[in-house]
Amino acid sequence: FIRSAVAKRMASWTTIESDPSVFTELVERLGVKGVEFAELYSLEEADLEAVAPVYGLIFLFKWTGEKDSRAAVEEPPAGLFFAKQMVQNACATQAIISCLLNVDEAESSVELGATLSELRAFAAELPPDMRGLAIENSEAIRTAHNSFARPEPFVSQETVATKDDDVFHFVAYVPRFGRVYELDGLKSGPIDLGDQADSWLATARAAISQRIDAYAASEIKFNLMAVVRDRRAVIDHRIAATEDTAQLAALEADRALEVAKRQNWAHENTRRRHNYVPLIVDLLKVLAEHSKLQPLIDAAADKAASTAAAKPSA
Amino acid sequence: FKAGKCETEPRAGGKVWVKPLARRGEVQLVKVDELVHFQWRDRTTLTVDASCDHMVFPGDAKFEKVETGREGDRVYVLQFGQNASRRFFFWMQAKEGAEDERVVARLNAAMNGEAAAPAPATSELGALRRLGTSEGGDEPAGSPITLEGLQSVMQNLGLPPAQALSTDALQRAVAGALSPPPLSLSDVVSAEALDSSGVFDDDAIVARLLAHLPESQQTRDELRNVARTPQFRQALAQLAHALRTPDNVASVFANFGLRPSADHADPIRAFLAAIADAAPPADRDAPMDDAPPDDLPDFETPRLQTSPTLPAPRLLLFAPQHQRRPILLSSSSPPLSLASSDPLLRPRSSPLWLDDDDDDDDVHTPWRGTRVLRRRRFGASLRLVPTNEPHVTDVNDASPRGARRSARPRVPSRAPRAKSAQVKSPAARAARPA
Repeated sequence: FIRSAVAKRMASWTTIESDPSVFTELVERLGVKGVEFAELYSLEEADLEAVAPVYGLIFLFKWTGEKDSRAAVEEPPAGLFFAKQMVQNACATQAIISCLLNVDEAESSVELGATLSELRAFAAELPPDMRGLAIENSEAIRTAHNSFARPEPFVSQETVATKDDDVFHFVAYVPRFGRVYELDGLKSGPIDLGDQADSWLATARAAISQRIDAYAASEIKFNLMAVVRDRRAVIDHRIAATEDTAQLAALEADRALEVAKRQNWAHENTRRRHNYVPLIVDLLKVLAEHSKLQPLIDAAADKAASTAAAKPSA
Repeated sequence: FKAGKCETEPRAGGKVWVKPLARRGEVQLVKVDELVHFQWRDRTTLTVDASCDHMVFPGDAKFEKVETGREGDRVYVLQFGQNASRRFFFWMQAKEGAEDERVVARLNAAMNGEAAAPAPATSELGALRRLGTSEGGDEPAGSPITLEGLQSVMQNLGLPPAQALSTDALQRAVAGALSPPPLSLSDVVSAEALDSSGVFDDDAIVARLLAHLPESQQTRDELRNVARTPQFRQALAQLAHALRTPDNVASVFANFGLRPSADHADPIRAFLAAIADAAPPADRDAPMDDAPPDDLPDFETPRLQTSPTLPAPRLLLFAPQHQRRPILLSSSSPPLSLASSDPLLRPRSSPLWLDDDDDDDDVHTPWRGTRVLRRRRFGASLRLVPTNEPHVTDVNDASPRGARRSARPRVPSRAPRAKSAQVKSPAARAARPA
């Protein structure tokens, strides 16, 4: 009985793509304003500077289940939001929310919106596992999360889970109360990484590098995202602050780029939700009707034959 | 790559205490889907132990001897390089320890991706085996092909014997002789191919396809670009994957109303062939110009179907005379399955069979030897078998006769006849030489 209940809870959260466009729209659907997600391809300082101000980092990696010797903080400071992860598929959303709820609203010009503010107030007094449950049971959050599910045109009969399946895990890094914390939903509490010093990012970067080094050199499935301020707002702020016409022109151009980027994101998200299989099949039918399908098949067959012949003894 | 050994897996009780298990087993390296798996197999039950099936990447794992401090112990450990806690112990079960080193060296070499000694065969044979595994996706690694068997196969295929060929030529020859390599759906519907086909320039086509795009994106530009989007490619890959899983293929076909034909081993080709067959040409001329006139309201446009499971031939042969025409026209069974270019069977305002009033009297009488002449005519003109064989056949051919006999009009209604003919004719057809 318990197992089926757990399975039902797990099944009610779908997997979503870990992409900045998905995450940004996800939080916007939850009512958050002024925040954007940016994907980082390296830990270089320059990259991090380019997207400043950074409110938090989210790191995705393949989970190997090895034990971490660092101890969790026994008594986390009261204002620090840490929730234990209860559902595997919700790990991305959980990390995002952990980051956001630890952002200092006053200084960062981030508006959390109704849903998340309520969640924070509600969960403030709860222990970490109950907080996880609170997130999981939140209808609004789950609906927003599931709205990004990819359409599954073919429901496969076979069960997919194998021992070799990669399990990916999200971990959040946030600065709070002068220290840098690592929030891992599978641990019992936040991990204190040290003092913020001049830039909390340096501390966080060191911790992430350590994690990356622990993997074999061939492992490249990492994903790093930064929770940053809405780029358009940042540029607007700079535009207001400068009077140099040359700079203004450059900034205007940047702003146009950002606007275009947001439009692209919106398009991509629409595409993500759409099932393209009917289009594919109808396209094939149209091609067949107009006698254009056979040439395409032949061309593809030639290509397949030449790659098969050219393939060195595999 | 199978390396047969005899070792058994002990259970590690606690961190250091390693206890051997008494089960007799073996360790093998198996290539599954391009990845190398290290597996332990129980020799008594001959099943692979699912808890001991590990993927190994080159440089990732080592198999080495463990110092137990006792002479005569032959305990080895499979150690994964980076993750110190991931290791598995085995004990050698071969009677003599002399072979251990060599076998272990081979195992390590194979795990780390070095060229392992192939099975005893010529290099062509090795190439052929690899070709075999790369072609048939579900073929287990290392199918046992002997050189003699290969040569005899080659001779049958009319190819020169193996020694005369180089590996490449051999590969190509065999690839040509055997089934063609699996087709990639993504290549067929690649963006470049679509662009060059000009399919998006046609307004009618665009209008039809736009309906399948998301509502906010129904523009021609989007249509032109959609084949490049990752979401489209993903859907293609999912479709291809569904077609390649044997369990799902039938339902995919059924879902799109397609009839699978058995002509293509590759499910992708079969799918494309079924689509091609099902699509009525948009710009067909002449043959279809005298498409069903008004007095044949129920006649459907013939659709090309190559399905061997097509229901029985039309029963116009056996219909009572007065019912002949209505049966033909209003029958709910699919129309004749021959190519519509067949002059004998295109739907015309005056079908052939209606021209010969003389023969109609004989149509529904029981079969008798004296009717050979008429049957020949019917048999020739109404070759109702859904294959691509020539239309004119010998009357002495088994199938029509068999079908006719079974379809003897015991009851003057179509349905039972349809069923019995249906049951008989596939069997009879199967009996016929292909």
